[in-house]
Amino acid sequence: MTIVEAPVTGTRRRTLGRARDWWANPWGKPRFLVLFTVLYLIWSIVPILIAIRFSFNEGRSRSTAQGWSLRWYLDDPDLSVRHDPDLRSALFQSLRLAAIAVLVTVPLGVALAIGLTRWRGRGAGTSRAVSLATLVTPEIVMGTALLLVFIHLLTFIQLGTMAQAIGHITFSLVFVLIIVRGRLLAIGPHYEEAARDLGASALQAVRLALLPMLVPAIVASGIVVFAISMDDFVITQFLSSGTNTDTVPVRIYSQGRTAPTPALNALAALTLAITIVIAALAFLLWKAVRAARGQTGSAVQEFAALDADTIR
Amino acid sequence: MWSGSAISAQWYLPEGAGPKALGFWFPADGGGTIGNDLIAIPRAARSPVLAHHFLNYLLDVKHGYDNFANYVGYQPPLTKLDPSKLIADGVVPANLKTAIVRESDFDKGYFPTELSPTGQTEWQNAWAEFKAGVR
Amino acid sequence: MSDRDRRVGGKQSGNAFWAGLALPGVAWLYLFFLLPFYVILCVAFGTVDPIFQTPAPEWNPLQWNTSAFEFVFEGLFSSGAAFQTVFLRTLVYVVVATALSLLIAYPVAYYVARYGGRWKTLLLLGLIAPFFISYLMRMLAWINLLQDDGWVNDVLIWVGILDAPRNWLDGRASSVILGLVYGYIPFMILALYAFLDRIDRSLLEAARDLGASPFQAFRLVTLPLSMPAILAGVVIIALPMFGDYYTPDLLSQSPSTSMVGNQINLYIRGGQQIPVGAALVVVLMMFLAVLMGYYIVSTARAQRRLGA
Repeated sequence: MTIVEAPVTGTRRRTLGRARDWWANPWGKPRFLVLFTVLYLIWSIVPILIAIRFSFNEGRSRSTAQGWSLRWYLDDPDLSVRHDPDLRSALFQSLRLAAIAVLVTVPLGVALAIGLTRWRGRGAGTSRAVSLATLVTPEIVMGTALLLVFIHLLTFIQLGTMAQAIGHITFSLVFVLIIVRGRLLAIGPHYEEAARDLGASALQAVRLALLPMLVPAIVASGIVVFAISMDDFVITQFLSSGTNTDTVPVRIYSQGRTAPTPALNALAALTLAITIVIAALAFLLWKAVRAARGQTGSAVQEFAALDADTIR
Repeated sequence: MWSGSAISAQWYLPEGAGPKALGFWFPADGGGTIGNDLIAIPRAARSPVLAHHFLNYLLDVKHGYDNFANYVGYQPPLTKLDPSKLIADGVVPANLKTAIVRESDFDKGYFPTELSPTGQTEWQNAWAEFKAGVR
Repeated sequence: MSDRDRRVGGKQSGNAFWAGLALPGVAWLYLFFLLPFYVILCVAFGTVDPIFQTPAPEWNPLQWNTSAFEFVFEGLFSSGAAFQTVFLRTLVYVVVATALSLLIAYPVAYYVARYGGRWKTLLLLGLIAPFFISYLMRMLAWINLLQDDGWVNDVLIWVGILDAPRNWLDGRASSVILGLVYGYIPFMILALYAFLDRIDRSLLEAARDLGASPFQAFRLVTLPLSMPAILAGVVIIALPMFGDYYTPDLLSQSPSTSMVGNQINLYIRGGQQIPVGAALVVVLMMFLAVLMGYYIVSTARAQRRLGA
């Protein structure tokens, strides 16, 4: 709504009035906010791009541009990611833990989400609260807790890959829970109810009516668990049994200040690339399944619809 | 600096420099730091018999002496190696005579041991206080 | 909860089915999340074996030994002592970093939520991207930039602010706070966005229609409506920040910037006094319990509102 100005004399006061109108117009483009957001995005992404650029450096510097080469990925006979056994084993350990985490957490989390949403009665509220508590617990507290429990109580589980996997699963479960539960609440009980009316048992109703509708949420939660597991540092470090169970983040931590070459940048960039590729593959796979089933509409839209329900 | 480092230093001297440049001081009354390395066979070792054979091999005077004189410079616990023999054979130069360990040194020397529990606690607390950045 | 929900979920036999579905997950969390907390308490209230120098947890609460806690409290409440210095420093860092994050995150989240329009998906992608980039990698990027021969020094010298390269990576609180802000801000932006997305625009229009200036509309309508968002965002990043120890370790290896997490790490993984480390963890958790309790209660309330 424009403000009607009393007639003013002089061009200067007219310009001032126009400037004030422009500033006061709530339907105009918010130029300051646009600039701010763009600056934020630049500040957020550019350091990573610079780090990736230096991973392709020909020379040994991590701060001076010295040409382009794949030296730190493949060629260097001792220090490249391909040839340095410490870096390679870190990459494989990260992938191993992430794979285990996804394979166990997603089914466990989906069952937990469905069960917790529909469960009425004693214990349901407490279980819901406990399930959410991992989200707000600092990782160092969880790492200490798991370390102590594996040393003093559950001693049949030794520190190392198994303990780290259990830690990752425990930590990621809540993310599957939140995503799937959000979607579940948005879907509502109507479809299962219709299936029950038509004679299906509870299990059949879940399996045939509910699960197919949850697929986008399941795929999204799988991607999230993968990314979180690849990123995890504290729990992995606390539960490791030595350098052979180090993952990429642990290796970056131990070499970050003293790394003599950009091979560390290369390792980090590779990890990032793998995470993105896996996420893209999962998304494309789901898209193909959708097409095979004959579903129409934008796949991206369906995915994006998850964000509105889940983060709360 | 351990005595074995002094003895093996003669193999790292630059071209033309003789062992006269080296020296090793140990308290005359024998009250200096003394220690020894160990070889142990773990209970779950996969080849315990071979390990015992290896120990026998190293404790054999001829092989132990060879190992000491030509490879490591750290003296093995063989009583047949007395100081005059080592110097006479040229393994240890005369000016490094104090670097030769005798069995009697272990009676008077100070053996580094683990801190007592109280000591470890105090040490860790002091380190934690330092790492906390307390001025 | 509607009647229909009850029909699907609440029948006698039906209820056991749902509980059964949830059981593996709940059992897992009880075993690997709740139980370990009890173990922490038992170790903190336990003793140290005199011969093996390993912690001897005390499983019976009636025989709990408070010496580790006495040590921690002594270090917390005597002025100038190690724990007090570290706790206060951590508090300062977290408050400053959270405040800075809020100042940066709010405009960005507000813009994307209100004015996103056609670009919303792309912008959201840009905001979500940091989740796929490992936290450690983002810190590594800043180590490279803040090195003596790094780009930050190069730019500052070229612009003329500095004459010679300054050491940014050794004992500077500003570098640590920069790292904390850079590392945690994506979480805050998404939390803020999720709530700001829901603010009813017509309320704002009504305020303007009634004659409020843009600033008044913001101050009297938008800001109060954003309070749940701001609180959620603050809790989501402040809690993990309290336990952070790798950011100071990477961006400043000096004891003068160490945080509580560093002390916990030192005691748990660096020696014989694991009960002291466990006691530190318990004290930290009690301190954070207030914030955590608020978050859990408000989330549960919101989900109940959503029709759970």
